[in-house]
Amino acid sequence: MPRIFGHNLLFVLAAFIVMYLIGFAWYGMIFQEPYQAMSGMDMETPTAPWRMYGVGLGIPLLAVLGLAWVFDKFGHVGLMACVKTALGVAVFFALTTNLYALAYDVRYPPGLLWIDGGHLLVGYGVAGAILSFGK
Amino acid sequence: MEFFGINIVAVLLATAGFMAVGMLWYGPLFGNRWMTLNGFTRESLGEGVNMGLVMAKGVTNSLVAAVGIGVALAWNGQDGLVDCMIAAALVWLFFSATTQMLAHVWEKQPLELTLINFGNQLAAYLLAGLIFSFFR
Repeated sequence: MPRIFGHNLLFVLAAFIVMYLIGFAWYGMIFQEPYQAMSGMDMETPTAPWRMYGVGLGIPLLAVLGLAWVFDKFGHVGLMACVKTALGVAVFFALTTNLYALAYDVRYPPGLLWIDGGHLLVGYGVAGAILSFGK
Repeated sequence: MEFFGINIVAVLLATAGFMAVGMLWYGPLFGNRWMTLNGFTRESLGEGVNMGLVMAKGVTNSLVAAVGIGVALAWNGQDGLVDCMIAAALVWLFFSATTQMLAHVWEKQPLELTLINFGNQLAAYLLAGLIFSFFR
């Protein structure tokens, strides 16, 4: 089986699919109502298919490839090391990117941070756990 | 002066770098366009806003990102200007850009606004990579 950044391709693909599904469940089912209310999303205009299935799928794929790259560079092996590093990456880079909206966008409701932040932490943590088995 | 293998002076400089890039980016460079795309006016941005709190949040956020880049470069064993900047750019692409892209894809944020935000973060990450490269 081919390997990407030292990880078995099957586990990279599994982590990518699960990360995508977590986002789908998070925003589309579990927190759908508060997310739509707080973000003020325009639900009338449908999302273009190229966005949803093209760019939308590319986001978790890139994030999972990034995690595989980090684990490979750091030489991380084992479930706990990978989950901890994935959570660190989520806090240091993904969450801080998200937090700029809270800092500078006067319309960003603080409650949205818990939904967005929770999604990032769960998504990265679970993807890190799956990747740890593919080393 | 090191903390978990990262130089504290470099972290402080990188934090200042994040703030400086942001001020330049959302000020003279793209400030007006950013406000138009967001539907902000100078008045609406200033209404009931505690600027001290805004700055405190911005500095804290930049500090956390700077520490993250420092840790990533230190653990990665990156050495030299080009290596550090490439690693910083990859960290931006894999984790920061993907997070920012979520708003464009799912919340229908205008592409131009996403690209302005991309540019700010990439410039700040590259500057942080450059700063850390001098402290290795």
